Amino acid sequence: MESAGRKAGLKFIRDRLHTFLRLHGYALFSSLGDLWRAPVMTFMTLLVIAVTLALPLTFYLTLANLQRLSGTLDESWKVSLYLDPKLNERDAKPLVARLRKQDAVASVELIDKDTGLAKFRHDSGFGDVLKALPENPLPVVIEISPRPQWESPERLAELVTEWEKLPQVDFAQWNMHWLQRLRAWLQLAERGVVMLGALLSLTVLLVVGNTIRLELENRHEEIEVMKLLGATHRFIRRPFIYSGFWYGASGGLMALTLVWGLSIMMRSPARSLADMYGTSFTIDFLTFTEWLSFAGFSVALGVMGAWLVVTRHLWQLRV
Amino acid sequence: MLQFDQVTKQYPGSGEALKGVSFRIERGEMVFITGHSGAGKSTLLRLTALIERPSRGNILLNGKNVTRLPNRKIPFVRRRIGLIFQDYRLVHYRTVYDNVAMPLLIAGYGPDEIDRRTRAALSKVGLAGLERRFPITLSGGEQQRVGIARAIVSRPPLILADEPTGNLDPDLSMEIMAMFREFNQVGVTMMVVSHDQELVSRFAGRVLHLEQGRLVDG
Repeated sequence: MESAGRKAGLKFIRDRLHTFLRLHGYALFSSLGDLWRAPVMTFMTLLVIAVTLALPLTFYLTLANLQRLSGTLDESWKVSLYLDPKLNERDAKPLVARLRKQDAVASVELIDKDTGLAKFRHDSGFGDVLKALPENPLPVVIEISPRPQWESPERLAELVTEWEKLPQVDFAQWNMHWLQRLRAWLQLAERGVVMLGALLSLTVLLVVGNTIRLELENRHEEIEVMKLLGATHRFIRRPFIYSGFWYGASGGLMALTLVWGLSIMMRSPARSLADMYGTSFTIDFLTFTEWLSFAGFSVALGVMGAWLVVTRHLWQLRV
Repeated sequence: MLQFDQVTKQYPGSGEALKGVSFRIERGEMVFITGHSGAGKSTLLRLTALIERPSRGNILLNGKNVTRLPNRKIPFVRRRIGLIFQDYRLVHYRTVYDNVAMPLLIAGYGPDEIDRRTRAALSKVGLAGLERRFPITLSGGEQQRVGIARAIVSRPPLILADEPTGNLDPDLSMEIMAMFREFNQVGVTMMVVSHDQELVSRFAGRVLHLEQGRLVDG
């Protein structure tokens, strides 16, 4: 008795599942068929969605790569003191000794004019130009590495102002300083990308919504008939939601392909630029997780746009 | 089967389309609803199909009061009612087959069942072989028969026909009416709205005559 009941229960669940899958299968393929029936319009719409999504994605990718680049430049809390060009190594020696004794200083390195020139020639690629100069124009440079306790922008800034006041010092250059500024700019840019992304996401929502709305208007009569024949709102809504799904998914994939192509095109010039600077920086495309979340986000936009429009339309129906 | 109990329908901004209408239709009956245009025939049908709600009074379908049925439950009531319209209301970019199969698709039938029933309904109305045609390529009489096939395909116990012969010539009208009688003979309750008194008088069946929103003895 009990097992018969359970069997009937299982059959009920199986039948429900069958019906569920059938209804969704119908919606899935009928929506695909509807899109396929107007290929040019569908393609145009997809292109609009793809370009709209590709824009913030490109910015995001650029930013992510810049942030990674700024991360690789992290090593240097070093401060370079450029001495008065009239001074030579011998004049610098006492200053080096005095600096070594300071609490804040971990190590000091003296770079004489010749070493500096050789280094500059190697790094900049202006070697031949420099050869044409009658004498070495570079000053003596003292490179100071601070102790770890002083490795904070505020504390180091204090030290640097002090060192700049020394009579022998022409000016101090401090990598962390411009790095800090770069990071601040990047942060600002990040905000911008987020806001731009939000606006353009809204655009995609509206594009999908408007496309579905046109489709609803074209099929207004059929929808009314379906309602009269006993269709639930869910049944009527389903194919349109799937249309939204297809728009979101295909538009998202097109955007990914577009941006991926761009990143490939940028890769080789970026590499030669990096080679010139002696770093091994390469442009990275999205990670798998990023890739997936972007696709998911784009699908969500499509589905949401469709849902909003269809639900509104169904509310207004008078049958 | 169907019971109206003091039903009044008032459309906003206009008079009462139905005024305290009461009647009862038993299972298996054939009922004609007659009257001049504007007498409230269509309103009566729209109330039965739950397209409109009454302003006052109660409507019972199968002994169940549907007057205040929540909107989300209406589709399931409509699946047990076959609707036939004066203007056929076919979907023009779908084939005859797809039009007729629609109620089954909506109700979630399996593909084999849909195919079997759709073909059976089409052959019952004499349209077998026209499955792949589009409604626009058919004559008015044929289009109405597609509409009828769609109404009977899910074998509803009640069929409502709103001026089904309004756009057809007398011969075709007779044909359609004969078809309705056949359905009635196998137990389907038929409710046919028509302003054509002469056509109605040729068929046996109860007549509900409406005049200015009130039932009068026909």
